[in-house]
Amino acid sequence: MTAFNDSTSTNAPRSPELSGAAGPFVEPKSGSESALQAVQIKRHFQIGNRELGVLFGVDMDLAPGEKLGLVGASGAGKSTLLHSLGLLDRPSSGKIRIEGIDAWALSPLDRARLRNHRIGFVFQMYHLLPELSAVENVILPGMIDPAGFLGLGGRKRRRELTEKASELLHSFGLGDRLKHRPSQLSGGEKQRVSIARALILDPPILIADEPTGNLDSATGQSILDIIFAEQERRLLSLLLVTHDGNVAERCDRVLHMVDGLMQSSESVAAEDAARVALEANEA
Amino acid sequence: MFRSFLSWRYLTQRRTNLIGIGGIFVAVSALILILSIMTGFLNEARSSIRGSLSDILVQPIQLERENGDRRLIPPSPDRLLAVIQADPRVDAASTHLVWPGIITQEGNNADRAIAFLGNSQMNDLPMVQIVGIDFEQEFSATNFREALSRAPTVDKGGRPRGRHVDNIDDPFALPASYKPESPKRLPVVLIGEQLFSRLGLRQGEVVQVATIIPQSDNNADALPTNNKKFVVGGTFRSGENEMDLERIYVELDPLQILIGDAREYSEILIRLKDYDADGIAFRDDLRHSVALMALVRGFTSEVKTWEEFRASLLGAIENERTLMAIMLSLVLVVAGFCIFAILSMMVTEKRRDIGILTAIGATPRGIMATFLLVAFWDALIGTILGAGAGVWAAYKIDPIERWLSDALGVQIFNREVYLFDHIPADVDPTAVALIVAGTFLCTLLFAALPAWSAARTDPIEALRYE
Ligand SMILES: Nc1ncnc2c1ncn2[C@@H]1O[C@H](COP(=O)(O)OP(=O)(O)OP(=O)(O)O)[C@@H](O)[C@H]1O
Ligand SMILES: [Mg+2]
Repeated sequence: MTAFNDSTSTNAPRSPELSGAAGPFVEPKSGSESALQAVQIKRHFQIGNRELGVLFGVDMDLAPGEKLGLVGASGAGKSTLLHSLGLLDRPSSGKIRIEGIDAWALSPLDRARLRNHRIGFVFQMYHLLPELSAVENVILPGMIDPAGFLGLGGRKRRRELTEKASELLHSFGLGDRLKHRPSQLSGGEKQRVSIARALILDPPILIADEPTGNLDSATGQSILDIIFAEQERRLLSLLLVTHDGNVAERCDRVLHMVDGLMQSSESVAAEDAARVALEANEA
Repeated sequence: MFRSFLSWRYLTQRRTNLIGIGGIFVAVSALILILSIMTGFLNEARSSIRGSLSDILVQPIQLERENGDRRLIPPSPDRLLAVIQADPRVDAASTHLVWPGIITQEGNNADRAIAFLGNSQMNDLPMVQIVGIDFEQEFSATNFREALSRAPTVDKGGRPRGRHVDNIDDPFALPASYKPESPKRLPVVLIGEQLFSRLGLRQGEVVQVATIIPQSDNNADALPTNNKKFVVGGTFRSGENEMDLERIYVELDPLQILIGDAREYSEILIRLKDYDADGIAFRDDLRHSVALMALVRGFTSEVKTWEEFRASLLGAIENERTLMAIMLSLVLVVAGFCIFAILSMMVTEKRRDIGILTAIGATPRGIMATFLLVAFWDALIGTILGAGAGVWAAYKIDPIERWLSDALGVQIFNREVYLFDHIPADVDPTAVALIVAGTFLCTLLFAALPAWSAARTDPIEALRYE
């Protein structure tokens, strides 16, 4: 919160036409008009015979092409929410809709397909496979066809994917690192590989959980530049968890999470109003 | 397709997999090699158990008496032989007169030797089975000719244990090395090479053969004995140790003289044209017809196939083979455990990868398949290399053994003990196929548990794990 208050207006939204389009989304949207929607998500963990509540009925809505920031203190439950949204962790109750589809009601295979094709996930810890080279890590989602049969038509597909991955890594400035193993890459380079992996199948939704959390600020900036540039280029629906107020500034909209609940939209609106007033004063 | 791609990568990047491949390799190659040698030994044993036997054996019980002193069975084999030879399935038949006896060298007192008969301390007394034959019949009905012409084994000093007869076409002719001491013409005896070498006999030497003569008089107080001189004509090597140690062959006439014309024959050996096809049917027919004609007493035990005759030994061999296979299969279980341990380790080590794969869209089934594939590659490489090495070693076991013996300075395979001049090894393709299939099954079975636990890994737990 303090970081957010420290923020200045230097990082204004970069795509006025998109932010303009995203502007009206104040009320939660329903149906296929939203890319990613959480309805009354609750999550508690069973620890021994004690029940630990983490999420207490979270509502959230990400419009197509929207850049949504999510901030909150450590332990507020941001990652837990993202895992539910990314179909990695089944919520105790509530619904996740991906492009209007109730994702946790699907079969495991269909859910795997959604994870594979519709959602790109970027982790704070990069999470690359150490045995694979950069380019192999990037093509991995393309090699997973949950319904596919072993290796059929694989060679051609793999060549196409490798070409596409190389291009992507080139455009991220990793043209000379294609064959490197993750252990031979710096943190920033690893995160760029992991962004390329998230985008290789052109998913409409990108979820990033503190992608700059392990990086120094300059490297972090370059990572964010890539994420926002790709968002703009691909009109991604972006959900970005961050601790950094400057980052939040670059989003169309910012949600605040406190102790497993979204801060009420009124208070957010009030803060927005305050910020607008501040900007107006400065202007 | 990420499954094969990734599993292959895991396989090549993880050193521990070499242990798994190595384990399977050793298990498969050892299993094939040992089973081949075992099969070779057993086959060799089987053929030596058959030894001097023909296909079908008729052994009438001749001492049965009924209605006072009347013998039920005709003492002459002629009628029986006529029945047998009339059958178109018969190739040849040979009459044997078999009698127990003792062989001693000249100068030793045969009577004294007989006095020790019942003394268990005298276990080096050369008790022998005297077999009276017509050699031409014997040559056509059994493999006696081969036994006579087979190269003798050599003892530690490199000397041959046996000595071929001068003329294989007339084995009972007096050898050229015989120096007659008296004008009386002596009959010739053919001696098993083991017995020959144990007694230190020479070709052309004169030996005494002593025996007991049966009495028709039940009241006889002592068993009359008889002995006769024979000239050693040469040796035979049947391949069966016991046979070569306990058997001597003579012609029918001198044996009948030796036993006082008590008996004309004791068994008939029959060689069939196609034993595998006709053996059982011929046996049954023969049982039937000889019983009808009262040529034998009609006990089924009197007409047998050679396999029935040696049933207990052959059964023991089969049993041994099965037992060996079961015991050796434990090696496969060990290899399976090896894979289990390695894969379990890998699944634990790769928890994070499993979470990542789930996050980018892999299904639990796909993850399970990935780890099963690692085991599959292990099994594939291990069995191919293992089967190749095992078969190769089985074919090259002799040079390998010789090289190893030289290198280690100990004799691994004692050719003296086994009476084989080579290590027998028969590669059975079915056995190899079974071993390979068994290895795959075993490996995948043991891999299933860790692969299943990988599939059940909670991706979030795996990703939080640092
Ligand atoms: N599998 C779990 N078992 C038990 N407790 C859990 C589990 N996962 C999360 N928690 C708890 O839920 C709470 C929220 O965790 P979460 O990782 O969502 O926070 P966060 O907002 O992402 O924090 P940070 O900013 O530090 O990443 C924490 O108190 C954590 O201990
Ligand atoms: Mg977190």
